[in-house]
Amino acid sequence: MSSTVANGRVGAMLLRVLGASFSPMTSRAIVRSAMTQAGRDSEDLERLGVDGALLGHLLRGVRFYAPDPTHAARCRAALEDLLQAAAEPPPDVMVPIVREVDIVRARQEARTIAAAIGFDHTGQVKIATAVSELARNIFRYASTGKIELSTVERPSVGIRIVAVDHGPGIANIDAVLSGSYRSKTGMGLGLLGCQRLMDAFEVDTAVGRGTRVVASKHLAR
Amino acid sequence: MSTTTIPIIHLRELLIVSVQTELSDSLVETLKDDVSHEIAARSPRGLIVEVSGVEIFDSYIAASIRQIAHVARLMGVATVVAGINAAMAITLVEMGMQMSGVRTALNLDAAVNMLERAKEEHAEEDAALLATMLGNDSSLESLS
Repeated sequence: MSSTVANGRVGAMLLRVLGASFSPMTSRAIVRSAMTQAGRDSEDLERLGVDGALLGHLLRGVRFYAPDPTHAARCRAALEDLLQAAAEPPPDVMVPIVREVDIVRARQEARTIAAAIGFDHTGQVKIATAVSELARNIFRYASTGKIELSTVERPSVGIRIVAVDHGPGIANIDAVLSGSYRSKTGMGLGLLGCQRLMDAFEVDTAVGRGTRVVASKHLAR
Repeated sequence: MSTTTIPIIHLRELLIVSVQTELSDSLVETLKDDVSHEIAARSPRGLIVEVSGVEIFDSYIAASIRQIAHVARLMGVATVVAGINAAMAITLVEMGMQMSGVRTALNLDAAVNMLERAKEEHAEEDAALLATMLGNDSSLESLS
């Protein structure tokens, strides 16, 4: 049962906020018992978010497990912030890649969205790094293009990254992705690294026409 | 264009570069030049590149930091890269990046200690590291 708690975006965010003060096991116990007391299940948690009644039960759990009042107060403040953030999923973002600074912007946007979706710190860093690789490839080899970032719901909640350019395309894409090709500039490792960091990864490329990479990463169930 | 520069501090015969900003490609290039010029001008005993302020570094930035360490070593200056945080370390390993030929330390303090002890103790290790990096040239390699 414990795994169903973190299935969605709101559940994952709840666990992340509680995780700052409690162990993962305790965090799950607090969420599970609050949901039971509020008569909620994980499906409607994702649909309706955290309402006042559920927050009340969560805070009761926090007070029960917290070693001292300061601890409980800090956790309460974090949960209230979460209520606001959880109101709706983060909006989709499109980052045009035209100048070098856009690479930095793309990875910052990716990180912000990953955090809002509920990825932990390491997950955010992985996603931002993958986006940085894709943005760099666009800038280096195609000059211009764009990165689209959006939230997906299936197979579990996650982030979807689409990188599109109309550059020269990649002639030896199979060699690049199998790791048998190495460039001085590190391009091979960029794409390969991105693939290794993501859960799903697809490249559609045609010489002279451009490249489209679609990648996604999901919250662990 | 950004006017950000990364300060290079000279302290007790050590050059300390503490990167506290988001690294763009051009900033990394400038840093590479600046560090080699500072080494030539001041002949320090060691170089520390401290990266705890860097939240994200992708394959290109990691390779550039590695190159800075290699350049310094070729100029006869022992180099330690300090402060790669846990999330970044996990990400680099998962991507298949190696920081071969580069000595690393948990933090600035550990890096200074390492260089204080360094000289004779690590003469042999240095020779071995030098051999590794020359064998690797500047390209990146995969773990698998």
